[in-house]
Amino acid sequence: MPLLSLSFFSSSQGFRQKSVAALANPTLRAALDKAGTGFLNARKKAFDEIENSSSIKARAQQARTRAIDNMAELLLLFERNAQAKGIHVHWAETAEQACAIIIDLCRGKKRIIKGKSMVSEEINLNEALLKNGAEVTETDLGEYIIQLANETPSHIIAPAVHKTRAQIDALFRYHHENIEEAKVADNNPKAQRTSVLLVEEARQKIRDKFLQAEVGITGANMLIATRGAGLLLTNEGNGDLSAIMPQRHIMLAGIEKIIADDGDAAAVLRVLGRSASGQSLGNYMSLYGAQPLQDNGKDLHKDLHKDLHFVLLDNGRSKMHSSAWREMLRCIRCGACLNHCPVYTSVGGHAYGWVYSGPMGKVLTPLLAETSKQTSAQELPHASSFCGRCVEVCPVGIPLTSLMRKLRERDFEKPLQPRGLKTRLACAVMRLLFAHPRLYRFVIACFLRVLKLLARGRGHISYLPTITAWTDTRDLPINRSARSAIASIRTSYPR
Amino acid sequence: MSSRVITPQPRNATRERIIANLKIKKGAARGEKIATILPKFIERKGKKQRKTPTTKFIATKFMATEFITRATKLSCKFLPAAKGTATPSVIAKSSVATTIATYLKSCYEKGDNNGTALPILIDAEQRKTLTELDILKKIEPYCKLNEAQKITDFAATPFPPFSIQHANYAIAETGSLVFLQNTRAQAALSFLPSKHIVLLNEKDLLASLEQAFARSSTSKTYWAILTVSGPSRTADIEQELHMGAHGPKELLVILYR
Ligand code: SF4
Repeated sequence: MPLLSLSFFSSSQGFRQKSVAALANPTLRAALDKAGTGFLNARKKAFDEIENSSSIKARAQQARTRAIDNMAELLLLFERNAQAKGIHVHWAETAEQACAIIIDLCRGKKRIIKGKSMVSEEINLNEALLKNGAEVTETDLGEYIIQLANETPSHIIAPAVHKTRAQIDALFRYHHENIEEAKVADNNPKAQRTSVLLVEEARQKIRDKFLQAEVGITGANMLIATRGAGLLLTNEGNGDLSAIMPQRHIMLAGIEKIIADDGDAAAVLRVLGRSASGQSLGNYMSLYGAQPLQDNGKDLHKDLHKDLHFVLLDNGRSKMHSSAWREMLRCIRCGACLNHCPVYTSVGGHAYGWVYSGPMGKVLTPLLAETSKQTSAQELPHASSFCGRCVEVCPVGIPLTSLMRKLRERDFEKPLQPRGLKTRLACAVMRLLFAHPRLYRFVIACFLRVLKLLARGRGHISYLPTITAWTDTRDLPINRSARSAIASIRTSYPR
Repeated sequence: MSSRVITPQPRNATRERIIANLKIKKGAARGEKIATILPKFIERKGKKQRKTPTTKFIATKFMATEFITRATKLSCKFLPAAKGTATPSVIAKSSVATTIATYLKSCYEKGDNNGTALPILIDAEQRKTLTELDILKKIEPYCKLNEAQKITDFAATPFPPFSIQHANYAIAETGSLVFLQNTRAQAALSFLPSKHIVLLNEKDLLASLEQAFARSSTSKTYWAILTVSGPSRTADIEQELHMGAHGPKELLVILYR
């Protein structure tokens, strides 16, 4: 059984059931409401304060497009440059392969620390390492919290966004031994501690782990081909401590993280921090294996990079490259589309069933999970109102809604489950109507008259038998006269 | 050459398969073809970078002001502390030592280390630079100097209170300080201490990220480039911003000319 599917779609519930449960969960709603508009305002402010945000975004998009168009060559260039400096490059085609490579690199070492890496969640690395008897500690505060809670991240940037302070306090009390009572707020052991105290406590606990760690595993935000170096962007500094403190450093990245050169990397950096959290760069931006290639290979201090390992993961990405969803590879994982998505902000990340949530997850999950033949992922692209906010905010111009539409089309053509009678009937009727404009006009006119009748006097309909899913939460406004509606149909569908 | 022998490709077949999938299929090709741009990538090294829109044009004259504004927004503190609402300014090279000494003296007198000398970490390679600025002598009465040699030395002091480092250069566009690090112990100086004191020469200010990347390509050998913009922060608990998540709680910058 592939490791992937273990936690991946562990529950048999699909998006629909999970989102209903999420909407009924008051704690989750409180947490999501708190997160609310913070991200949105920060992003808006960051882009408003610069003079030429549109050309900056266009340049970032160009940089990513170049990288994806030339991915094969750039990856080989990256490998060559990295190896010239003594850095090791490993390739993994599947999640299991990547886990096997990393387990191999951690052989004989027990204490492992991790910086935040969504790819490691994708391949379920923690579980694989734990099975091999290693002791893994997540060091990003958000990841640390969800590791203690034994959950999966619900946001690619803020993994613990779904947790309230009270929940975190309770978690820390449960898992941390001998909390100094003096540090507990107002010397009252029962009082909920402030977040300052919680942050401080996590700092103390994790610092020990940093000092004893033998292997550090981090993600990479970009792989710069001309340098053969990995770029890491963090706010807490945990990624860098994970890279610096242990002897061995493993950088795990999807192959789409490749970028051509320094100039392109700078172009992407300008939009990445701003889109993610409204920062101009992000607190710590580091390049590992950064040393430039000197001419003729002279002056290379190979020893410096001896214990740096890049693990490049494919896991369905190269297949996406030649498919209709290639544009998705441009994604820089900024999380802006999540923060702006009305569906995500209502149901939270866990409803999506995997590490990638929100609009980007609706495209990525079905594509990356393709091999595992899980049907619940195929449901995701259908859970969208296509409002298009994600397309508006995406800094690298990924047409998320049209990619989702293409997924819907594919699902229709090659359904994983047999199509029901209802669907087939509806499609047949629609085909008939669309092919005959006169009939279409007639039916719609009748339909509108009926609606008008139902809305008599009120201007809206709050209950319609066949579409209760819609009318349960909204009213259907019917305030134009049926006559004018019919007239407008006439003009928009001339004979 | 020898490195190629040491690092053979154990999973060659995997690589070939991935690369084969990625080769541009007919009809899928868009944008620039690598065949024409690849040689350019390599030759571009050291030459002028492609023109890129930056967030803001910064004239050399305003570089320091821009840096100070940006860095202050990122919660960096400048020494000497400006009075009231006045913006911090660039100080003379000769007064760097006194400024640090005054600051450390105040910490010492506040009893930051229970009235005993403050342990200060410095980078062994930077001892010369710091001596030239006359810092080491001036701060001696209040401090106990330690040099960071090996990463394992930190095990004894998991929470070192202070470190003093000289930045290699800084980026005005983002308000970031850049360090080119040779060893892991040097790099740890920017992360482990609670208060990180950074010296920066005004002439090392660069306008944009591109310039910073280009400058790093001309430098000596190094292991990592670290770019620090403000003290370590987190907003993982209910989106409340806190300083000092894992790295320094305070970042103090002394900008001199
Ligand atoms: S799809 Fe666009 S907005 Fe969403 S995470 Fe990726 S780059 Fe950011």
